[in-house]
Amino acid sequence: MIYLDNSATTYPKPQSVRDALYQSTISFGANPGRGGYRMSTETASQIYKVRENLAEMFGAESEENVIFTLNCTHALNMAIKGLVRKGGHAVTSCLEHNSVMRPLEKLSENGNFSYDTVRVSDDDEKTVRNFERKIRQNTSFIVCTYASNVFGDILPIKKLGLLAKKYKIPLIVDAAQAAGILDIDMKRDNISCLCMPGHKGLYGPAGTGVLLLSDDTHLDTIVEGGTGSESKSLIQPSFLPDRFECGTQNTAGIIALGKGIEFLKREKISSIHDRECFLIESLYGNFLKDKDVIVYNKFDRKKFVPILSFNFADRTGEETASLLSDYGIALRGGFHCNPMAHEHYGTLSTGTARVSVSAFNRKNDINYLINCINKIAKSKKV
Amino acid sequence: MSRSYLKVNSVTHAMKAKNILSANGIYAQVVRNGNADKREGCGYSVLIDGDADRAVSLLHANHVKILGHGDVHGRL
Repeated sequence: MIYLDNSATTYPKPQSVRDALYQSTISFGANPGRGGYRMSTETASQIYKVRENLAEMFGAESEENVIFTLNCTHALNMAIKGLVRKGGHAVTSCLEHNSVMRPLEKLSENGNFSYDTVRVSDDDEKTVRNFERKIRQNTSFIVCTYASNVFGDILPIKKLGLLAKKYKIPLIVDAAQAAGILDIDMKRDNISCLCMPGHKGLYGPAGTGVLLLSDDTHLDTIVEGGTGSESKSLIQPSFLPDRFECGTQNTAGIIALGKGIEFLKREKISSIHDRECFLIESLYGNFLKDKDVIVYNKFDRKKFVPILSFNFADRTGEETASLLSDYGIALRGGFHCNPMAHEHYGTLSTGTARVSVSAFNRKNDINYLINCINKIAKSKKV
Repeated sequence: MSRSYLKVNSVTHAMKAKNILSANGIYAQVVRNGNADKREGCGYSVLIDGDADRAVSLLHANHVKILGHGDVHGRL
């Protein structure tokens, strides 16, 4: 199998991540933050180290500002629903994944909250002006993706952070396709809530996610429960991270995620990014010469993360993905949980097939994909 | 040498406190609160050797909230 669906989840995981998943169930199998015996405090120590690494990697003010979640969707729901106020309003982009759109849509159902979507331009200044035009007196927050999961567009997050700061409103960023891929610093970029999965660009296992909060962001809770702290109180603790981490965490997953972070530090995010962009550039260059393949933007590593969506003129994205699967190529076809992006790019009727690479893909994978695409192009649809 | 408890909000804060104190040459160990707090219930402390006042100052300077402190024989 040639795996090219890393925007869904990265595969394979580094050996150290796989080993940590197994080993931690043996050596760090206690519940951290509940007991005082050695294995419990050592497990807590392992979890704390991962907080430290994440805080450092993303410019969080402190380790306590790192909240572990189930995935990026969970983190986004916590941020969005934690900041929503009755009569409030949000501004978002036209490229948002359903993990942003569905919570916003649900919140707007009763008429007590509204949102506006903004057109993203290839001119960053225009995009920012479009956002600014939609900000109102009652705007509670801006929420947007760092990079599109379908077409790879990178939004001008630094400029949007300045915009949010200007209007004194929080900025929630969906970094599902950017964490571990682009340089993100939440303090530098004025990000209030930075949401990410552990299992994509951070090379951790499924069932892990992270929400990083700035010190001046105060979210309501959407889940309350046992935290191992202030146990006699029926009120959820006010201090971080306990306020947002109740119930037993995915301890083995978090410890393994820590190894994914170490892998990124060793390999260097910029080096991995260079290699991934080189692969996508070579694929894109080949697509440009192929009259049977449709691509939807001009890949530029400064403007897009290394993702490439494409189609054949006579097939849907799902059909293409299915045919490629017969050749042993794993990639995703369809709408990618993002009808908004497809509407923006005019692919709402067909969807697309999407290629997304990782640190473990090589040029041979792309060469093989190109050969298969040529074969499929020659075998016309019956 | 005297030993003291510094009571903190949670195990995460205890880990942070331990790291800060260790980096400043103060031996620190994360422990459960021996006497479950009458008001709050379960909790964690760092057990240290030596000068509790210096430890408290260091932790305050690093934004670690101390809920209380006392010597090993006292009750928090």
